[in-house]
Amino acid sequence: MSGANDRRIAIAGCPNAGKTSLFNQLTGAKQKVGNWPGQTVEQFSGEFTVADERFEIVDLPGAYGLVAVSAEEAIAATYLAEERPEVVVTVADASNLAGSLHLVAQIAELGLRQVVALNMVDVAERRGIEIDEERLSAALGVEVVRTVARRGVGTADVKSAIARADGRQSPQLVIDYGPVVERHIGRLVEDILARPAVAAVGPARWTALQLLAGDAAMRTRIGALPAGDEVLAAAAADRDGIAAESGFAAEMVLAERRFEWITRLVGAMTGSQEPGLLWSDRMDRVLTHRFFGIPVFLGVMWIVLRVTADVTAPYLDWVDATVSGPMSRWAVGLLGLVGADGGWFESLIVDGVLAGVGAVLVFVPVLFALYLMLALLEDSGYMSRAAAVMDRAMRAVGIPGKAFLPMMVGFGCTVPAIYATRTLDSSRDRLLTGLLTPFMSCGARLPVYILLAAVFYADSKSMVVFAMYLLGIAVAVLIGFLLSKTALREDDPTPFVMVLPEFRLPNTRTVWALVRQRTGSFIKGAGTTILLASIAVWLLLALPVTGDGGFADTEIENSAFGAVSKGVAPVLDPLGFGEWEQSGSLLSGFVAKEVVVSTVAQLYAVDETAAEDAPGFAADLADVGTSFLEAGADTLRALPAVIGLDFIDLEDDTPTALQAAVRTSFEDSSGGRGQLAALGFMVFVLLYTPCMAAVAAFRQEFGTRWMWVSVIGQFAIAWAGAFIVFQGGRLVGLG
Amino acid sequence: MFRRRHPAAEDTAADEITLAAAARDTQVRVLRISGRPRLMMRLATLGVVPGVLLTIVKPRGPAIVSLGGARIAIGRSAAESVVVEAAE
Repeated sequence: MSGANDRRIAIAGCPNAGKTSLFNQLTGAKQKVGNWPGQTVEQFSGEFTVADERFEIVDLPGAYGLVAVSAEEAIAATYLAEERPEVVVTVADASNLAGSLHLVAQIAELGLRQVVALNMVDVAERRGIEIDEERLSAALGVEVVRTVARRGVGTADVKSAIARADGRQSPQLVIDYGPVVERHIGRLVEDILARPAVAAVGPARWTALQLLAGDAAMRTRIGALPAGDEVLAAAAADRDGIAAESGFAAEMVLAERRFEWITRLVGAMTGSQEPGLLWSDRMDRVLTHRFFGIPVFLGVMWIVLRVTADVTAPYLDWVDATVSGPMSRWAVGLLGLVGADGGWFESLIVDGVLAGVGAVLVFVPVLFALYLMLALLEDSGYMSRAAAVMDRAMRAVGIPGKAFLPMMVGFGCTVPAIYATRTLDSSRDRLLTGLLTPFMSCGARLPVYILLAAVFYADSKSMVVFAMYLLGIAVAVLIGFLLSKTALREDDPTPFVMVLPEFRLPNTRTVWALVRQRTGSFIKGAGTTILLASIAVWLLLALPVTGDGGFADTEIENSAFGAVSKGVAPVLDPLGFGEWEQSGSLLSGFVAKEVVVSTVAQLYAVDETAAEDAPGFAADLADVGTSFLEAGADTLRALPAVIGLDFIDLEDDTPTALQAAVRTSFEDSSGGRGQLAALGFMVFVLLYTPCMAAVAAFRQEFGTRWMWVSVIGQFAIAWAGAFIVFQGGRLVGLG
Repeated sequence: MFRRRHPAAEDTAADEITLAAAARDTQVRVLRISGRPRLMMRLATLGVVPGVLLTIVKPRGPAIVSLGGARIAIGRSAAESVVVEAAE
């Protein structure tokens, strides 16, 4: 991961203190994104050089303190205590110094060399807060640097402060916790020092403080050591002692004492005048208002949704057309040059690899737009307000308020929705939301509803389609409620408490870094899986199982794909759509919902595309260019419509031959109850796995085990849903 | 696990209110945080500990308080667990 000579630096800080801005300023473009081991929390790392010395720098997840309440804090605390980086850069919000110093004080108590970046000094100055940094530096034994990380002010000073701090003696801060607590600390320190394995963990006073505060990570770590049990028992007795003598839980007494110490220090430096009401408070009163808060939020979400769906649509078509048109023709041409065209290899390249690349690339404009909107909302400070507004209503059914955003995004596309769960606080909340987003009916499922509704419910098309969307929401709420009462139950739910960041104009650099990292992460992570799956499907279609066709030259019915479809068909028979063409189209829907309708057409051998003459290379190249420009123009034209409220366009242009084939097929498979079977089919399409890209995204975020839970669970729910519709409908005499 | 009454709260019991019931634009002093250890820890790391003064920006739906320049949003159920008294 890094050269042997690299010195390790970590950046710590409260959420929204400007940690990420400083990290971006320090590292520039030299960044890597990954996940913390075994976690779904993003890990950013990078490097920089000062005076010919190279430093590797890790951006720790946001933490208010080192006694972990959230998964992010546990990661930060464990990294600092176990890895003991050479220097920790702690970003403190100068406009909220007391709040930020809790973390600074704890890192100083841990005895790590520290550079404190006193960030957002411009905001503090505007509010009339003066900070005596020399006094702060002396009291905490740290280097203090004034910064405005968003504008790059002070970045060079931070670098030289790191170089100065590196290799210096590391001072350990000692806060006086008062006679009662100090007596217990002293006793526990003796217990720790008497046991070499436990004493080796770190500074004994630090270990004692974490144990007295009841920190879960420290307890686990000590419990695994020889004689660790004895120390844990002693710590438990000391905790009880403190509670009995002071009347408060030990962790409260420790936090209170630490804050008293901080308040005295800050008071001595800044004077403790409380700033008056700010304009942002008035804005907050509106944005988080009991009645106005939700409509404002819905309006913002509507814009996000329309930008991701509509504004990117022209680019999406452009990518699609470019890959399936000119790029495929060029590939064939290139293969022709080396004499490898015309055979199965050409088919693999065009129908397997290029189709897979296309499936990855079509998501890029959507994801890019979504990440851009999300980054703007996050960096402006609005996201925190939105979470505060939605929390109460959604918690009532066990779903956190922040889940609203990914679920809204899910109406556009499930893939970015799953990635959008990263904005949630705890891994439990992220997983729960990730399990629910697939039930939000994505744009690609719409053509299936439209086709079937046009055939079987011509008089009430819009109502049937709308009902599918509502059913998806109802299922998500129900499943969310059930999960939060069972497998994902919380005895003490994460309380909604958060520091509201300052409103501000989004910073181009921060927003761009977020968008680039997240889009890149999709291409590398999910992209590989999608490409492999696409090649696997091509193989299934190419392999002849029966009949006399050769490899990559066989009827679909005789291919492995046809065989699998026929194998699956009986499972779907009780649902009223057990013909192999129907199961085959659902099978292809696992790859992407976009292709369900085209597969149906293909399987019923209804040709909807007219043959066209292949243009030459130059014409192709010109066409790619002009169509890209046209896409840009279309995007600009789509912008004003973003705030408009025109409803889903239910225009269908499916050929009548296909409609007739579909009608016959559903009537046959359901014993004359085509309407019910078609409704069941729509419910099935709504509820089963959205597409393999969503599965790949899910696996990247939540791991293989949960991916299977999600895939199998969705299939079971979809089957049950379609069963209830078809058999239930039959029972009550419908259809 | 710990006693619910703050020693200083004994003689002011009649004036105790929850944060959710406090009036807008007033200053309150935190007396205690009842129940819910995770909530206590979360509030404590933000500096909301017994004895501190908070300015109420808005008390409900969610509550927003000002503490030393920071604005902290506190959900309804959490705000109902924070016991305060009017300051001044």
